Amino acid sequence: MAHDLSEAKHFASVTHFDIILLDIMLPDGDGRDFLRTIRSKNNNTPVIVMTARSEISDRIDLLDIGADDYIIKPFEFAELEARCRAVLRRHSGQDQLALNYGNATLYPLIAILEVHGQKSSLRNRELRLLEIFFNSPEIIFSKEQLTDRLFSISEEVTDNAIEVYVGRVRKKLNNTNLKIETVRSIGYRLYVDD
Amino acid sequence: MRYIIIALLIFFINATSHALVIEDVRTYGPQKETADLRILSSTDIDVFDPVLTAYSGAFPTVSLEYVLSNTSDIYQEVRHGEKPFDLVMSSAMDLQMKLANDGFAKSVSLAETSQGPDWSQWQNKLFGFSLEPIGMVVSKSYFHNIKAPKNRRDLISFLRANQDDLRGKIVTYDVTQSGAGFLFATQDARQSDSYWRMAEVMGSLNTGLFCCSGEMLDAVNTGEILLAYNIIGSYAQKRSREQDNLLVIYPQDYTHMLLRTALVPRDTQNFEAARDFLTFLLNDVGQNFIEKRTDMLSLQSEVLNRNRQFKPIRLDTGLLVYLDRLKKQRFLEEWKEALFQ
Amino acid sequence: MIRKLLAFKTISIRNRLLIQLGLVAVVISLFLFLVVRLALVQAVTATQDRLLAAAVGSVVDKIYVVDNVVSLDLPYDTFSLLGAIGEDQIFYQVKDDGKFLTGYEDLPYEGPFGDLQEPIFTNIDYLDETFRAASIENIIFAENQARRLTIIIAQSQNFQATVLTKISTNLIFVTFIFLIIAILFAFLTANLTIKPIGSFADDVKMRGPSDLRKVSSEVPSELIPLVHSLNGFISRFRTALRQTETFIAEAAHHIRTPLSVVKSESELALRKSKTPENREHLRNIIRSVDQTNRSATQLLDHAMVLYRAERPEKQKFSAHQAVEDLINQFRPAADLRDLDIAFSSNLEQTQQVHLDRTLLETSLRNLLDNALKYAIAESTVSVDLSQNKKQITVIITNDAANLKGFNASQIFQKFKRGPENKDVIGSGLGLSIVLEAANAINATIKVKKLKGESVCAILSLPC
Repeated sequence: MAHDLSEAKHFASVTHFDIILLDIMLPDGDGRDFLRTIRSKNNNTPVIVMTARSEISDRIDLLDIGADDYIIKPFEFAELEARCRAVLRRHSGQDQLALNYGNATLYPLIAILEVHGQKSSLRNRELRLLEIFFNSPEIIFSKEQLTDRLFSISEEVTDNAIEVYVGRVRKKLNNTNLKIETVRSIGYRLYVDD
Repeated sequence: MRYIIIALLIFFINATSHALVIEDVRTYGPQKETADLRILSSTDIDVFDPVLTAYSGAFPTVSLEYVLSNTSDIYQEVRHGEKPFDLVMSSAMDLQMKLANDGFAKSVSLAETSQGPDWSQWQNKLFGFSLEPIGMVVSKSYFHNIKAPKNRRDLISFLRANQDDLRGKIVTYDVTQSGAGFLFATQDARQSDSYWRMAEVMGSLNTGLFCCSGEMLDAVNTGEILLAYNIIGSYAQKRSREQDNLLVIYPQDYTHMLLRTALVPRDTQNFEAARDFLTFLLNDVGQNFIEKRTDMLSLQSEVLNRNRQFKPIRLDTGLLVYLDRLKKQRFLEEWKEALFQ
Repeated sequence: MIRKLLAFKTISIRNRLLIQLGLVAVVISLFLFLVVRLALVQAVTATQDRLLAAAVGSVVDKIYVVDNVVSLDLPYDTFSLLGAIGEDQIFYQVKDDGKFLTGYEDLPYEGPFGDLQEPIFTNIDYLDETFRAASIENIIFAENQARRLTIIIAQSQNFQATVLTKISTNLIFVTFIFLIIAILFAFLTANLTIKPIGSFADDVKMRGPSDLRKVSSEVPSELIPLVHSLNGFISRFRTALRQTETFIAEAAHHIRTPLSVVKSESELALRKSKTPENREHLRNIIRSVDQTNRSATQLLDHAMVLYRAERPEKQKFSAHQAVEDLINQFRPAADLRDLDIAFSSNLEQTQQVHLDRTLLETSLRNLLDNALKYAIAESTVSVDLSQNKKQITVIITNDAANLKGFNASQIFQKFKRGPENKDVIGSGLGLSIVLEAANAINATIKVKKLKGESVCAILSLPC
């Protein structure tokens, strides 16, 4: 994480990044300058700009300068993740991010679960749930934790909402050797069922 | 005809007025101690009577008193008299003009219908109401076979040529006595170069000098006189109808037209009555009456239009000139020299 | 009425000019009239005087001495003429060394006497009237003595009076015409003078609400100070507006950035936290931040709408594109909650509308946000963009969770919320903002409850 414009420019010049999250208001300047600079150096790293303004003119400005997308502060982490996914999906093309576990492959960017060549598409929460498990398999996640990750604070969440989604995801894992275990009073975990 | 009262009135008025010689008086309308309208005039009563009768007929409640006098006395009466008249009519235009000029006449504004032609009025104070040609009257019998002179040059030649016949047989106004006569003579003197020549010729013929037209006409009629010069036309016409021997001649070189004028004395007590009478006299009814019913000529008379022979005497301040002390004096001196040879 | 007349300050300039010019015209007319009349009187008097002088001359001609006696043969024609013109009275007096010779003895004049070339002209009061007299003295010789003759000829002024009256009447008439013309002219002048002010006012009036250009200086020099003050005022106003604009924009940053920090830190902490209590605290914090952000956003939106309602910035843009872009902005967030946004449109990409884009997007954004907020989980929110005849309509439909007590008329009131929606975070400003924004772009907004458990919002734009 770069704390200011000069650091950012420095980092960008030395390393390749998959994605850049850029705040407009930096302590030592306007984030747009950074964006203009790297684009002028033909650096096509995807950039999502974080801005407090929601004006159209700003949006057009940003896109014109070379941002791929923007997100309005304050934002949900989940939204940021979703936008990153979208930008990366657009950007990478053939390079698809893939998570493998057991005999299943999860493609978060395109929300596809593949097993034995069979692809099933996932709804957003189903994807995110699987993403959590695939990123940390065999780790128990409490209902609370999962709720926090799947639902925004402002959403109305019924008691069995998680159970519903876990149920759905279990169905999607039917063809796989993966199972989600309900650990009573503790939570859930994904494991390979041999 | 109230001649009965005449004598009494003559005595009465003579006793009270300022040397006003009253020749005649006539009253019309209801009897009153003081008449509503007192008229002082130099026009013969008989000549003016039709007008007065007509007025009285139209306004039967108005009592009129018509007093006849001569022009000079009339002038004096207005200027110095004690009891003012209401209307003063005179043939002596010059004397009337002097009265008006010197402030003895009252201004009278009449209705439009009573406005005569401009030349017949002066300053709303003098009102001409009748015209009078001044001509000659000759003995018809004398001129039976002889051509009567048609203009003054002819007259002078004629006088010169027939001195024997005409000596003592000519008559004219005594200008020292008659205001009208004085006017005629001075107007002649002004108008014509040949006046003094004529005067001298007349003088050489012992021309008689009378005071009044009436007497001159009588004399011609009887044959006493063969030619009377400067006679008032209407008198002559009237008389010539009654008397056979009168022939009226209007000289062709010029015949003066006298304008009879009326004025309202400034001290009148009966202004309204005077104005009413004037209105009557000057409107179409009155003028028509004068023209048709009297021997006088009205202002609309055709005579004026006929030819340049008839010249009205101008009613303007020029008339004052011969009344000037020095001028009059000089005129009279010369006149006397001419006529008393 | 009197008070109105006395309120000098408020008398219209046009009337002021009219009154002043009118007064000047009246004064000039009067002055002209008096001057001309005076000249007339002088001319008429001079004419009479000339006549009298000629008369005196002709009388002097007729003075003669015979046998040492001075005599006078008054000229008839002179007197006739003198009196003929206007029926004037004539008086005269001739004295020989003070001794009365002829004429009117009581004529009240003792001198001074002029001479033939320059008679003395005076007014004499006689017989209660005023007469104009010319008097001269003439020396003649008689009896080997020089005798001083004084000659006075006086004439009444009836003719003069008549002429003066007649010409005065004409003069009054002419003066009156002049006055009328002058007043008409004053009227014209007043109007013409005022015209620049009127056109200036019209110019400024014609401007659109967002036209804050400087006012043109092509005005009469008297109005330039006004133009300058107006321009100064406009600059200050523009600055103030810009400051407001800037403030609103800056406010967004200054509020949202710290909030964003709190939210991000709290979310991170929440993910790491093990203690249920702490997690509950953090959740509360995040909830508050969200609430604050929502309120702040709506307040800023509200401010922005109010600001723009006064001076909309119209621009041409593709309606289809704008709606699509907006929907794309919302998709990721909608997606998170498994909400689908279905977009249908019968407009061409190229079809343009001409209105304030910010206001339109603010309305749509708030409506869409509302729809997504109250939509049942995993349902579809549909956005339909259509055009028929003179209207472009955006219909946003969503299945709602709880429509009990739904009141279409109340829903737009500020801070009023649906009775069953207490749990959903919102400040109640959203729809009132939409209403204000819609009004500002001459659009109408309607919210309807549909068959089944769904609600739709209809935004109709004029074409």
